[in-house]
Amino acid sequence: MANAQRWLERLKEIEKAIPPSVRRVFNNPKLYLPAVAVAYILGLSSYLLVFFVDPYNLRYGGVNVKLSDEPYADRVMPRLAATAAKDGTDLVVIGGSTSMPFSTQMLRNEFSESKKPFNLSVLGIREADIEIILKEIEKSKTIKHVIVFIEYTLLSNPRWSNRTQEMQYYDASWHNLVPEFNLEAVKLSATVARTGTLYHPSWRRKNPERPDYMLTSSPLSTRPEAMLKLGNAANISRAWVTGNQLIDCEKIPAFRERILPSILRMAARGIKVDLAFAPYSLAVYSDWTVNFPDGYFFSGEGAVFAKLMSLRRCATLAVDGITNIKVHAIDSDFTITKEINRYMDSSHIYDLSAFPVLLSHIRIGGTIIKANEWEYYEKRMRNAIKKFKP
Amino acid sequence: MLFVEPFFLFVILPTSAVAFYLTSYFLGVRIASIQLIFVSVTFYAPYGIVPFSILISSLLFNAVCGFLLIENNAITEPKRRTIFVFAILSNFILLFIFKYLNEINKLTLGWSIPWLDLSIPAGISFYTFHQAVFIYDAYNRQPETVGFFKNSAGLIGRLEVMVRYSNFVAFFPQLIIGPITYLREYAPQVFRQDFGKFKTVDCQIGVTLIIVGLFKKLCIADSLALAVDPVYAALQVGTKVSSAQAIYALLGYYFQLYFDFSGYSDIALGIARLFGIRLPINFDSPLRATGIGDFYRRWHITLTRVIALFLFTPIAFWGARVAAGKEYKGWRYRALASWLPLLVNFQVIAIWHAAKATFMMFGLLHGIWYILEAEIKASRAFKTFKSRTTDRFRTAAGMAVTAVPLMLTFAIFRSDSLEVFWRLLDGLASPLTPRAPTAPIKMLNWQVLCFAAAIVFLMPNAYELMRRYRPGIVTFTNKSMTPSPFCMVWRPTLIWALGLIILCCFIFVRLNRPTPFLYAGF
Repeated sequence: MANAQRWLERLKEIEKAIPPSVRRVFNNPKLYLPAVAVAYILGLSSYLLVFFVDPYNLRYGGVNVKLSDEPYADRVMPRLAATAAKDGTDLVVIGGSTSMPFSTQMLRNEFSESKKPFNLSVLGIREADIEIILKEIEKSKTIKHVIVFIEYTLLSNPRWSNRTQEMQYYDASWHNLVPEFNLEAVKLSATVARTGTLYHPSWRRKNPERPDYMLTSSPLSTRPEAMLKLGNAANISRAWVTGNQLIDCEKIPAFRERILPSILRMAARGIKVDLAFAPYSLAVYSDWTVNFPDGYFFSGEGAVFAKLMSLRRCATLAVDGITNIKVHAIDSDFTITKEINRYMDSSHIYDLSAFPVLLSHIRIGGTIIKANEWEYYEKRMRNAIKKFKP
Repeated sequence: MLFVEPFFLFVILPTSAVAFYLTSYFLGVRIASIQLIFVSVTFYAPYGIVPFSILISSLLFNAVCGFLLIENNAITEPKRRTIFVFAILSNFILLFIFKYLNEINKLTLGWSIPWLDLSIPAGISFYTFHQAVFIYDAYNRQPETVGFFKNSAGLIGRLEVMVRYSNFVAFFPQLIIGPITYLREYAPQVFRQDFGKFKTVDCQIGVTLIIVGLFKKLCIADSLALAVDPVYAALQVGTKVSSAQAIYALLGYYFQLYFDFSGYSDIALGIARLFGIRLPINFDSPLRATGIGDFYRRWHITLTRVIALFLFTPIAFWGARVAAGKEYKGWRYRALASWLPLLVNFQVIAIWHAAKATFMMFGLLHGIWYILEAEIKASRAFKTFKSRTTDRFRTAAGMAVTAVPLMLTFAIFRSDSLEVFWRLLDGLASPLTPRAPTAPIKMLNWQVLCFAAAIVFLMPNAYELMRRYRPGIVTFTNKSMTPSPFCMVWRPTLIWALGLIILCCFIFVRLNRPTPFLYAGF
């Protein structure tokens, strides 16, 4: 307190040292409102700039914006869907962290008929995120092919909200005209107005080859302790990890309610839709069961195997026989999912050479699964998991 | 609509203020008042058609009852009394149906009425109390209330009164979360000759309060919420938290609730002042309270005074009469005349928030605490202690003794169930390093917490700072406890404007994610 008193006295001394003419200006009550008004007008101008430039293409009008060929930082991925729908993109990948490493180049190499492919995968994608992204993509006049990855996050976990925070960008309403408004949007609007490309230098991926979430990770093969943990989990749970009964589709409504309507509409328009099971390793079932107790990844009824299989089965049954929609069980390519050395953890592939292989499965259709093949697939997976040794 | 939404701040607020003064200047204050109703409708419309219809019905019903109670001299006194009881009951039945019925059904019968299973209509708790007070004043023919309904003969006269009444109830700055204003405080202001005429000082004070309130909400309360909410979410699903996380949640919510709610009140007072209206002050540094009694003279003052006037006082009188009739003395007398009214008073304050076990526990604990404090303060030992100690020492000791129980009861208030609160206490008792499995919460921002604490305990509040200009209506005069080196006085000068501009910069950075005010849910 004494220190504060000293400081205040010091300040008063400084104040006394200020020439009277300057002091008069600082004490002038007529300047109070104009000074505050300057700050307010700056804020208002920024708001109007974002509204009129519309950097994320959320409204009609605004500047013509294109997506950049540069890889984007993970955090901005959710904001790109509306632009992808309007800039001529004809192939999109929608999924979570496991499908983020598919680069534009990989997509171009594999799907040569596509002129403008783009990966819209979002870190930790949720059911409502996929719904929003699909609805945006549905608006596209140029889209020809959509690949959707079925991630575990579609099994709603009450611990998480059903969408990522970044999705607030799509919340426009008459009383929230500029939901994207923030300091970053102001800077971005200035850049977009100048370049016409939805890209800001601060959005650069730290490593262009890999998504940002992989930056501090290393392959499992370089971490013996992590391998040991996975091995232990597999050994402990081998006898029972695949034993649980599958869950009724009514209890996992996210796919049916949030994804199915959009993909049915797109398929009816002649757009090719590929649904792919996320390529988790065979270790994931024992790892998440043993090392992450209930509530972390999943909560509620059923074990990891039962839940993931139920989700996949429900998706397969829901689209069976529908023209233009195919389901790919790419996780049944055991040359990838059994090779734990190619992963950075039990669910994310680290080895970039695995991704073109997965894309080729989708292109060729080698892992396509139909409703009547479900039991065979499930049995194969069950056997592989039982025999699996990391 | 939220006060913190950019659309409100950059579009609705400036256009409505400019339009109000221009209309008032060119077409007169009556037309400007009609225009103000449209602004309130625009402000409330996003909440949906059902809440909007409930608000309009409630408003019309109370206005008609008000007319009957004030205007109609042909009505006999017993009939007036019947109208009064009917109006009060109807207001509270409406509140009960939309706020409590389904909760009680779910708890007792295990089912709910589907059409009621929507979120509570925004502001219903506030405008119900608002209008109940009006009905009470109308029944008692309180002079300002009677004056408010003057010249209501003929259709035009009635419409004019309706416009005035709609603005009193639905005036957008106070519609959703108060402060609960008495008509006797509001009416004289709209009858002033200069109402509707632009005054620089109103604008200066209004803008300052809005900026201070936005800073409190966006920069402090929301920053604290970033770590507090995940801790409570983790506790909710049964995940264990470390003691650091538990301590942060406890302290963080203590400050978050204050900055959130008082921030709203500051903005509400500021916006009202932009339109030339003073609202009652709702917060007066409550976290510096030296006891629970002192706390309630500083926290949500406008609710406390309504409950005290309409609930505590009648029950206390009734208790005193019964006790005197039975010739009770000592603790029996106090039990009826003081303890019982206090327990009921705090239970009603608690249930007013929602019908939840944690709120009821919160109310019960505050009631018991109030009784204990009153008893201790009335004891001989305390009087001796008072005579032997300095005022300063007692203030410091009182603050220290009050803060911890307040934090704990705030934590009960925040918890979704008592189980969550026990888990928090369990977390407090755990080692400092996280136990496995613990919630992965990494955003404990201790700097924001220390900054919040410094503002609470060292700085003058907005009303103290601006006391020279009477920013709001003072309902309780509390002793200022701001340390003397920090006792500043605001003046509308450039130097203070520069301070505000700095706050504006912080607000601008935080304006990206508007979150609802905590009390908007009640």
